[in-house]
Formats: sequence, C-alpha cells, structure tokens
Amino acid sequence: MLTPSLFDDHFFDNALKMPAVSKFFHMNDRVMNTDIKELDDHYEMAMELPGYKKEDVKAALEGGYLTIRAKREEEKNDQDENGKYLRRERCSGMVERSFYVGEEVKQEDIKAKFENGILTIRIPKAESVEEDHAEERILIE
Amino acid sequence: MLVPSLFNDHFVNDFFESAFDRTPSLFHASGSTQMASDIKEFKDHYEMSLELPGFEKENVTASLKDGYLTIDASRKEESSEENSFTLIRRERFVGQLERTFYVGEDVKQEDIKAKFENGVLTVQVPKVDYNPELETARSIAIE
Repeated sequence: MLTPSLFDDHFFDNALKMPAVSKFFHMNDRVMNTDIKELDDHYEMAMELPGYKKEDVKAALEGGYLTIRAKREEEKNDQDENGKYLRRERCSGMVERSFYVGEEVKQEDIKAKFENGILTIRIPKAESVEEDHAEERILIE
Repeated sequence: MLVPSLFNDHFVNDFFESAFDRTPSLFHASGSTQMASDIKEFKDHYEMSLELPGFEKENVTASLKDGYLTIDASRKEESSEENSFTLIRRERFVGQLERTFYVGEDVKQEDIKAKFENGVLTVQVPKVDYNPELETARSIAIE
C-alpha cells in the first residue's frame, strides 16, 4: 500500500485527476475548494461551503484522515411557494472531502470554526513537540 | 443587434464559450467556475443565489444599468509576511469577480432586494413586464 502524503486528498484528487472522470463529474470539481496554509506550529485549512449552515457541517478524524461532510437540505417548505429553477449551477445535497493529516493528530487538538461560508480548521503539527526538544538540545551560536 | 433573453449571462457565457461551438453540452456549467448561481422563477419575482464564500459584505456590490444587473466582488490576498505562512494548496479564488445578467430594462434599482448571508448573495428581482396576454399569444393551444 502506498503511504499517503500529508494533506493528500484521497477521494477527490485521485478521481478527478483522470480527465474522463473529472469531465463526467464536472460539478464536483468546484465544491469545497480548499486552501491549506502551513504555519510555524500548525496547518490551517479554509474550505468553501457557501450557503451551508454551521449545523450542517461535520468534521471527523479517523485513521489519520480528516473528513468533512456537509449536507444542505433542499428547500421543501411549500410546493406552491417553491419557484421553478431557470438556472442551476450550485451544488446541493451532500458533499464530502477527506484529507490525510497524519495518525499522530488527536481530535481534541483540531479546532474549527465556520464563518461566512468558510470552514476554517486548525491542525497542530505533530512534530512540533519534537522540534521543541530539538531546540533545547542543539544550540547554534 | 441580438436581443438578450432574460437572465442571459452575457459576459461569462460569451467569453468562455467558443463562438464556433454554440451547441450547449449536457450539464454544461456556464463558463466561470466562480459565482455559481441558481436562478428561480416565482409568480411575481425571480430569485438569484450567487455563491461568494469568504467574501465580506462590504466588498460585494450589485448595480443595475440598461437592464443588466452586475454583481461585483473582490477578495484580497492575505499577506503572508504578517503571519509567515506557506500556501501548500490553493484552490480558492482571490481577486475580483464580476458577473452580469440581463434582467430587463423595466426593472428599477429600488425594486431589487439583496442580502448576503453565509457566503451566498441572494437577489430578488421583481417581474415587471409580466404580461399574461403575451404568454397566451406565444403558446399554441393544443386541443
């Protein structure tokens, strides 16, 4: 088995890199666009989830993979009140994306907030603890 | 000159679609991958929902000119010098976005309502030129 690299996006990237597949699932390549930043002691992910509510978004960690799931309910208030779609480009229903974050990361260390249609996730660097020790030992003058 | 049809998205469509290939493909998403929009028709108004995740309300403007509704939005790049970070993956759009829709020349600016919430701009455009007689004239009665 191949070892996943950090922030490898196993579901989407692998499938969507194949031109035939990405063409077929054309709508998928624009959902949950994500920026990932590397900072001194943590990574910060920013995922686009426009129109979703905070309670519709869930993040779970399992086996080193961080999975973000979001579900947007179709508006079904009143059949008569509901308009007719003239154009539909936005994604509805469930979207999911997984990232490999490493097996050392603990769920309680991951912080997330949802604002303005953006889910921001802070993941500590697992090796940052070791780096601290290294700093204690090696002194360069 | 061609008369634009209602909610025709002249900028994005014309720009991205090849002038030689006018046949729309199945599930063809009109041009831009930004500002994905849904347009719904109600009895007395149209409702547009445009995706602008991460944009600030004050950086989103909507303006009406000659029957064209233009949505303009910009998002600045966060300076990496302040926080010293490295971008290891970039999929989100940074910069200026613009999308124009034809809504008809009879629509007045004060009648258009807009709100921005959860990264989605919702615009309500009233139907002013709705004429039931015209609808009847256009449709062919099949008995």
